[in-house]
Amino acid sequence: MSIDGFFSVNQHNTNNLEDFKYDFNRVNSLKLKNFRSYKDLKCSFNGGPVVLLGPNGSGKTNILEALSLLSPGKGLRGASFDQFRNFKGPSEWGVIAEVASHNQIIKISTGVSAGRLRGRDVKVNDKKVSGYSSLPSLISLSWVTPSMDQIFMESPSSRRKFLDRMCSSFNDNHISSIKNYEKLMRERNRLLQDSFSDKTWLDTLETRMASEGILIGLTRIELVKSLNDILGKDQNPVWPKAFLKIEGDVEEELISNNSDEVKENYSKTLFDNRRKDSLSGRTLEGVHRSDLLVSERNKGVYANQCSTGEQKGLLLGLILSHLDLIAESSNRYPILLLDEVIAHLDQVRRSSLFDQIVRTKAQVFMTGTDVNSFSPIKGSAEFFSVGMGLLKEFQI
Amino acid sequence: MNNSEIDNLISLLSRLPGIGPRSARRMALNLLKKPESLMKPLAESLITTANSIVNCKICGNLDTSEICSVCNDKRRDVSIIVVIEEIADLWALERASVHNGMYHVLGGTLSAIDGVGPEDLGINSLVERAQGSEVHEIILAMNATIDGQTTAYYITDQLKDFSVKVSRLAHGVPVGGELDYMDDGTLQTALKSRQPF
Ligand SMILES: Nc1ncnc2c1ncn2[C@@H]1O[C@H](COP(=O)(O)OP(=O)(O)O)[C@@H](O)[C@H]1O
Ligand SMILES: [Mg+2]
Ligand SMILES: [Zn+2]
Repeated sequence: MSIDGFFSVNQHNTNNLEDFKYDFNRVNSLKLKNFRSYKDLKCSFNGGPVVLLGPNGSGKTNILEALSLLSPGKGLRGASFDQFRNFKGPSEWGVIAEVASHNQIIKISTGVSAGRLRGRDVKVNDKKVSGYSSLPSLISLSWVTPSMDQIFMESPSSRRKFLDRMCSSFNDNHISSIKNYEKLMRERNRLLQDSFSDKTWLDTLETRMASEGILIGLTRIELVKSLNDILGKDQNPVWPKAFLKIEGDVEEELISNNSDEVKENYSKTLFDNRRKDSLSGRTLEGVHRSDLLVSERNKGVYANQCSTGEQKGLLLGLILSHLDLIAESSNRYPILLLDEVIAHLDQVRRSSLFDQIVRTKAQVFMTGTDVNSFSPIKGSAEFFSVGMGLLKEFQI
Repeated sequence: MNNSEIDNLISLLSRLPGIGPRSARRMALNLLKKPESLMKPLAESLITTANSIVNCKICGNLDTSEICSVCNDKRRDVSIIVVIEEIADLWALERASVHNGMYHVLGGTLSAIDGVGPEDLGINSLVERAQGSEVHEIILAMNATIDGQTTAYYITDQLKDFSVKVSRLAHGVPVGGELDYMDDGTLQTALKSRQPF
């Protein structure tokens, strides 16, 4: 964990010529300043699988959360921005990572300076950028956390966010489109609340909402189609096979119609709904209401009717297929964060997952409490013990 | 510190953009050390400017006369008007010397959430100006932000029944970019590669 290693390129797993056609997303080093339970942490990774071990509350998830903030949004806990700072420290916090991306080493930093109440700043090589439009093209992450066990039982919004996060590594502009769409929608909702509303202004907002909405819908459809193809090929036989479908008027229309027609319909729906939307104070129809329906292929039942174990399997199978999809479609490997996933798997699935983790060119971070459950990968992974605001590397 | 005059000075200084309390204290101390050579001339300059500065009646620029020096300059091309969000954007374009026509400063963008409507911006006077027979082209140079672009679309719609040509900046302006922060070269390509709206 020397600071010297901080800006050197690690060559783990890159001896194979074949590998050079891939763009490795890899975190080489990480610094946390006043972030959650960490006052000042520095650590570096060699590119292989990383195992973070420690008792409950030792700070493992906090590390994964810091990594998840290298993609736009609120991180893997979906926390509000005032939760990130160390409660006992000053009000600023920072996460600074040295990342290999597009065959270059870049520095991505995020955090807030004192006094800032909302949001967080993002810098790439010390230059301030818009996180939403810059990060997805530089780094892509996906994660599985214990709270996602509930994803098939929860409201559509958490599945929609999950879908859109998968889309963001598929299409760099997806999150920007969503942010644009949401902004336009807030503007329209607000305008509809004013008794005297400007028709041209509303027209403008609705036309642009429809354009962004179509882009969002098209990316979602393409992702779902490609994922279904991969899941159909049965590459990871130990996992229950998911079948995906988007429930949403716009996406359903887009499957069988010309997108210009759908766009026109979309603006027209918004136009027709002005009264209704004005009364309810929100936009009742559109891509911001869509849901991701997941069912189990062989049984043909929806995920929410599957057992808890099966649901977890569906989710992991989905995430792993997504990793394959992104590697196939963009020659790039997202970073995978697996929080407390390993301990809850049966023997067969655990060893299949380890096989894949060792084989994949993706950088994988895992957490656990028991070192024994990780012994099958002791030769290929880096092990760290977590506690007291420190990471200590050790050999097993 | 319990001198209320000095405290007041510091708190006024810290209201300037980019100046935190610490730099405000440093600035105040610097001024206090040089009452004759710096503080009084600065105070006088502030008063004189404050008393004479007005918004240009035509374009919205800030100047010491009712018609600003840009609008008054007979050598400039009156047939082209560049529409910008803020005076800072006008200054940025002038610094880069890439435009020899006229300007129109909106003073912001449409934003329902912030309560800024068309009547709060200089849109009506722009529509009026656009109808002048000498005006051939309106170039929309709003920031590439959501509100900036909504405003651009809105203005295009307002101008669609007139014969004036409407174009907008194209390549060169990065998504989310603000004119005030761009270098001259970028501004120039952006202006050159403008496209019909
Ligand atoms: N903003 C914060 N400031 C200081 N400590 C925090 C903050 N947020 C969480 N913690 C502490 O971090 C610990 C939880 O860390 P976590 O990473 O979730 O542990 P685990 O190793 O079980 O994943 C708890 O002890 C909690 O009190
Ligand atoms: Mg945890
Ligand atoms: Zn003027």
